[in-house]
Amino acid sequence: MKEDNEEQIAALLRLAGPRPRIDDERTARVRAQVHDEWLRGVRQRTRVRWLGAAVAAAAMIAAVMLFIPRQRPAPAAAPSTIVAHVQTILGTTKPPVAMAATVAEGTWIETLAGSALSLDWNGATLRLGEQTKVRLDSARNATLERGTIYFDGHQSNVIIRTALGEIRDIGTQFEVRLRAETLRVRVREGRVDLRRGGESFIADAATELVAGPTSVRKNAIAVSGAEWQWIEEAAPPLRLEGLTLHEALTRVAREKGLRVELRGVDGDVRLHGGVAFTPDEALDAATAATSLSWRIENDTLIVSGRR
Amino acid sequence: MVELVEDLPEIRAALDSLDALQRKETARRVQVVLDRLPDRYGDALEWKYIEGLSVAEIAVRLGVATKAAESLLARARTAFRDAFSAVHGAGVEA
Repeated sequence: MKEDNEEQIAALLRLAGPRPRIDDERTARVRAQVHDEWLRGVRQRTRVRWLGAAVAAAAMIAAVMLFIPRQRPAPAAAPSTIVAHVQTILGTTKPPVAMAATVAEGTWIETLAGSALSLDWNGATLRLGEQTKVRLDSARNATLERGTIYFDGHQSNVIIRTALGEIRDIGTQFEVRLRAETLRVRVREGRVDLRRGGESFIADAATELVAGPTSVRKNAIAVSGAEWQWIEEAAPPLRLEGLTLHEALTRVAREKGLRVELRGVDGDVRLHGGVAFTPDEALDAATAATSLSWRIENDTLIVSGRR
Repeated sequence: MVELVEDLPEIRAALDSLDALQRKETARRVQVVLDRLPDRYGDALEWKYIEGLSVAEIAVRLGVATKAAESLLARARTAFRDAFSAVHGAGVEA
């Protein structure tokens, strides 16, 4: 930091003056709830970064052992193919992985309780919820042993194998949850095909398939809301620099399962700033910086000018 | 008026604000940015630049060594600058 920047920051802070102090329990409670919720994503990443630094050696060793082809005496050993890399880590995985670590085909990854992971899987996003165990069999195939995963990508022919059936996507966003004897596939966008026992069950956007050992039923579902929240929390950081307002809002809306509607707003305005945001933070930053307001109605993120 | 440089146009623009309304809005944004920083960053910046505490005094409040407080302040300034630029400086290239 250059000294002249420090002077500018000092001048800004003096202009603003001290922030209002928490002076009673009610204010403290409200502020803590709002503030903590807002900062949760940032803090999780911060914790992960520091934790990552603290256990860097262990993680490096684990990464070397797990994600890099092992040194074997046999000269004919084929190198493993890298099929994914880590975008976001919340909490703990088994084996431990580092940010940006590469993942070779055939690798099992498991998230522990309260943890989540986001992978860039051949250009698509694959997120693992807590207590999830997945093997990346190739750039298009994965095996879900237990837990919850979310796929978001435009490529088709991705296959997720489970003990209760095989899920094939057709350019879409969907979640697969396997718990005990129940497989649930929820589709946000596009369509998926659940195949098992020679039968095929199609789920379109805003529907889910719930499969037990002997039956499959289809239900209508919401494509946004609290049940999808974990996906947003595991989202990779979003940087606004260079994006247009419309691009930024579209990315945020996609994480939330929403459409974007601009009302009297120039979506081509270009944004700046190198801070890594969660989707909520990005939405606040993008609209605050352009003096806009936003609201959500009927699965639509509506952005308009302030009056 | 503070003498400004070219490398942070967002901050320069903010400080060049002419009327009370603009200053009030800028002040609000500064406080929003402070609230969004990690607690220790926001506190340390306030102690240093508003209350005028020395680095040694801030170190005592934080319960860390003076050197660590210096480092924390440097990180806090960087975080503040980036966050403020993101919130205040967006949106002029159509």
